Amino acid sequence: MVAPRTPPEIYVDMTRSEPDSLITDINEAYQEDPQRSLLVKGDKNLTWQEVREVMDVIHSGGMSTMLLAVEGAKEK
Amino acid sequence: MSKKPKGLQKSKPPQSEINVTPLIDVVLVLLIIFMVLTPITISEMSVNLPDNTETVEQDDVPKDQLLLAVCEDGTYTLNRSPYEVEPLREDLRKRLRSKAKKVVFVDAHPDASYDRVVHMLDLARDAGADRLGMASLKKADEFTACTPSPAEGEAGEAEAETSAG
Repeated sequence: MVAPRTPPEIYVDMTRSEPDSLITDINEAYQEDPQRSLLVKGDKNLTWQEVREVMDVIHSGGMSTMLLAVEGAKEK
Repeated sequence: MSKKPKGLQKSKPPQSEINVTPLIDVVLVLLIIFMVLTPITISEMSVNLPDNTETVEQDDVPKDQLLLAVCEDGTYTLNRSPYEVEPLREDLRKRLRSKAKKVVFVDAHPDASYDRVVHMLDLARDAGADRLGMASLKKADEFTACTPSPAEGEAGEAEAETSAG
């Protein structure tokens, strides 16, 4: 979860995380349930750069498959 | 005290007001049902990031490659041509129909809204794309997917000069 703050706040399962410890926090969450899928959910007011940087951190940790989600009204 | 015979007792006057209590009960139950069932609107899209990033020279890019881009102001382009949402969906659908490999690349300005990017991914999938390629994050001054290609720019200028002349 990426929340719209400056800099953006990152949460793993509702627990605040930091870019440096993000991979560790995600791996801990995976150890609890290895079948979980990784969902990157971001506020619709975030910029692409802010979310993409988080995705790049996750990718650098060896996780290449993730779900993208945006919170807010869906435009049709 | 003698009791009056039944026939002589005064009967209550008929009630002319509608009893709304059952109606309120039903409305409240329906309200609770809708509150529980209405989910938070979340649009999801699965993406696979590449293991290795390959840099392709501009000349090696296939000419029929489809590049969708989200611009800084929230507008969209397809192969550097600006589009509205619905015409973009239709045009992309037509182009993908004739392709064997239904691959679409998506790029976005770093300051573009994340909401718009996910909407674009959703649109590409809806238009029939089997695979979505995500361009690497670029700096604002390196992002060129929203600027017309030089050939188109020259053509546009020539056309403007012609119409002005």
